[in-house]
Amino acid sequence: MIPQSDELQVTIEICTEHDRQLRLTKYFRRVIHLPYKMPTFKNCASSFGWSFFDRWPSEVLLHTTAVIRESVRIKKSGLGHGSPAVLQLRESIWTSPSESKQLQSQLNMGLVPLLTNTSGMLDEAEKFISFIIRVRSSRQKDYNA
Amino acid sequence: MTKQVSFRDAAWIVTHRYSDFESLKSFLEQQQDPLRGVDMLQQIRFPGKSVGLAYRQSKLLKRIESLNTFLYSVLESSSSFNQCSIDAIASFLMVPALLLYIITAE
Repeated sequence: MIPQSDELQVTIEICTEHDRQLRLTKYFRRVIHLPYKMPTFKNCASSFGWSFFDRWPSEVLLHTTAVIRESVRIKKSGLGHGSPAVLQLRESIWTSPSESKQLQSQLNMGLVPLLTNTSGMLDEAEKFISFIIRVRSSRQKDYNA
Repeated sequence: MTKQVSFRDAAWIVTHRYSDFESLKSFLEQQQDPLRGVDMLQQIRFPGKSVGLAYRQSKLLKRIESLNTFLYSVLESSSSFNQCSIDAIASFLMVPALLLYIITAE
């Protein structure tokens, strides 16, 4: 059955092994235009059909900081999982220990495709500058419910 | 009522080119409510685009400084943005979905 609305909301409730109730809400939006006409910023919603995006509470940004740590010059042909440039970059990024090693590892693994996608429109020999931004969310915060 | 949300320190890395910042700014501008009076984004300084400056170290440092100011200002003002803008900023910063799960569980 094809929904009449252009947006669907799906809510899933999960009970963890520690009896913690998690509520996960996902939104799906019908994609009928080309990416540059997308009503949302999400780059992943680049194909026709239905695409999901997260709807974030504004609180998530209140105690988030983002700072550009450095800029790197990258040659597109040098990108690849085994290339020295990328390996060096990956080693230099995680300089401080984090409590969330698993999360860190997952994100680190995503760096190569991230960079590759960023340069997708470039010629093989072309160089570009990418800004490396360190984002941090605070340990604890209060907000008015 | 004040609700306290606790989660571990989370830090991650995202990479963006100058054009990505431009896209974000452009999107946020489109989402501005014209009836709100003061145009908040007009007050946020954004570095202009110049041909060839990207490879000059001194100019590049200035650009980083300006983009940092832009990021700081956007996050400071985030509570005033609409939902689409908040989604855009969270997407730009690639806020891990894990944080969303924790927040919504509280």
